[in-house]
Order: sequence, then structure tokens, then C-alpha cells
Amino acid sequence: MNEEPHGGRNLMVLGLCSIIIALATSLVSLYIYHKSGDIYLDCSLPDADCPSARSDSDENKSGNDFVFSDNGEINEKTLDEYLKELKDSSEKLQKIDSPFSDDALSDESLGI
Amino acid sequence: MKRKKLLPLLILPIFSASFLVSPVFAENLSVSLSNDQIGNISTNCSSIKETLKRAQNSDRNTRLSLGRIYQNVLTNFITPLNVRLVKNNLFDSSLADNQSNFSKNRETFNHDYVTYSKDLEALIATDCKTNPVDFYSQLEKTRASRKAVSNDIATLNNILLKHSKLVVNLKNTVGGTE
Repeated sequence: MNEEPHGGRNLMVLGLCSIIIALATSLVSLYIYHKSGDIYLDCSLPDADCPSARSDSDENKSGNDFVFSDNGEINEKTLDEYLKELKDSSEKLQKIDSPFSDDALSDESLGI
Repeated sequence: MKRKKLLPLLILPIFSASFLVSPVFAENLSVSLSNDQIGNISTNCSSIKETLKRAQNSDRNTRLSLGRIYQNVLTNFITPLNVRLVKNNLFDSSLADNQSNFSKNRETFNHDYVTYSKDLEALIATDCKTNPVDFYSQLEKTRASRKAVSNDIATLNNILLKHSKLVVNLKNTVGGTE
């Protein structure tokens, strides 16, 4: 009449369930990571070659650390300084040579 | 009974895994390819793949540099200027509109870049040796999404240029009233 204790088997079921749940949540996380597009923006991946993302890159060393304060007066002098610093950032944009131009995927460059 | 209870637990990971292995098919675009081009794709398949991988790495760096500059301009220049204008009772609707425009287009740029990256990845995964036509269809699709990214950059740069002009106008106005 008395039920036999199933301690060992229950422990195994618990372990198995834990593994399955961990596996399922990992797969869902990976799916979200891929689907959201974060995988394409992530420079920490082993095969990602993002030298400019490294802390010791020249780009980071010469990074523009100017921050226009949201407090203070608005006058000719402050706006002059603002425009000067903004021009530096604009020049950095101009230095990036024809970003995402058609040439990289043209028939000629691919040898088609 | 217990087996029935365990069944959903076994099905769940299989169901989740099916998301990860969903295949990517090239869209049936109207592709006009000569026999020479088909031959070139099959023959030069490995070198084409290498070129695409190099472009992928280069694009990743370009996006990173652009993203950093756009982020810097928005958080360190455009936004604080508008906040400061409001605090000084000098609210400028054109500059505020420009800020929301810049912010919106930056999101579009990120979104389009992700779409392009997915297309490029699918292109690299397509077997050009045995399926040159499918490969070229996917190439056309990738070119279109790359064009969208390029247009986003042009739009953002124009908004930034407009912002500079508006600030120059503001400077002249402020200078005139001083």
C-alpha cells in the first residue's frame, strides 16, 4: 500500500528538466540575439574584425571629447565654439571614403 | 501520464531550435544574366566569396565609425544645444525638428544596416558554384539594401549640414540682438 520512495529517479528527472530548460532558454536568447540584429553590430565576436572598436585604436585616442553643456548663456562666443567643434566632427565624416558605395558589390569588382 | 507531462519539455527546445535553422531563400527577382556571367560566377565563386567577406569586414568598421560620430553629434551637440535654448527661452522649432529628424534617421540607418548585413550574410551563404542564378538574385537584393544604407548616410549628412546652417543663422540673430 505504501508508495516506494523515488528519490533517485526524481533527482534525475529534476536534473534532466533543468538541462532542458537551460537549453531552451539559451536557444531562445540566441534566436533573439540573431533576430534583433545585435549580432551584426557586435564587435566582441571572435571573427569580428573591428579595430576601431578597440580601446587602444588611434580613432579612440583622438576621439572628440567635447560636450556642449546644456547650461549657460547662448551668445555669439558659445555658438562660435559650438560650430568649431561641430565642424571637426563633420570633417571626420567627410574623411570616411564613400561609405557603402556601389563599387564594392559591382559586377566588375566581383569579376562577374 | 508522466511521459505525457515530460513531452512539452522535450518539444520546447526542438521548437526553439527550428527558429535558428530557418533557411534563407533568394527572392525571385527578375535577373537577366548572360551565359558568360553565369560561367564567371561559377568559375570565380571562391574569389567572389573572398571579396564579399572583405567587404563585410570593411562595412562593419565603416558602420562603427559612422555610428560613433552620429551618436557623438546627437548626444554632445544637437541635444544639449536645444536644451540650452529652451532654458534661455530661445526655443527654435527648426532646430528641434532637425533634432528629431536626425534621431529618426539614425534609427533608420541602424535598421537598414542590419537588413543589409543579413542580406550580405545570406549572399555569402548561397552556393555560387551550383546556383549562380540564385546567387545573382541575392546579390541584386543585397545591392538594393546597401543602396538604402548609402542613402541613409547621405540623408544624415544633409541633416547635419542643415543643422550647422541653422546654428549660423541663430548666431547671427543672437549677435544682432546683443
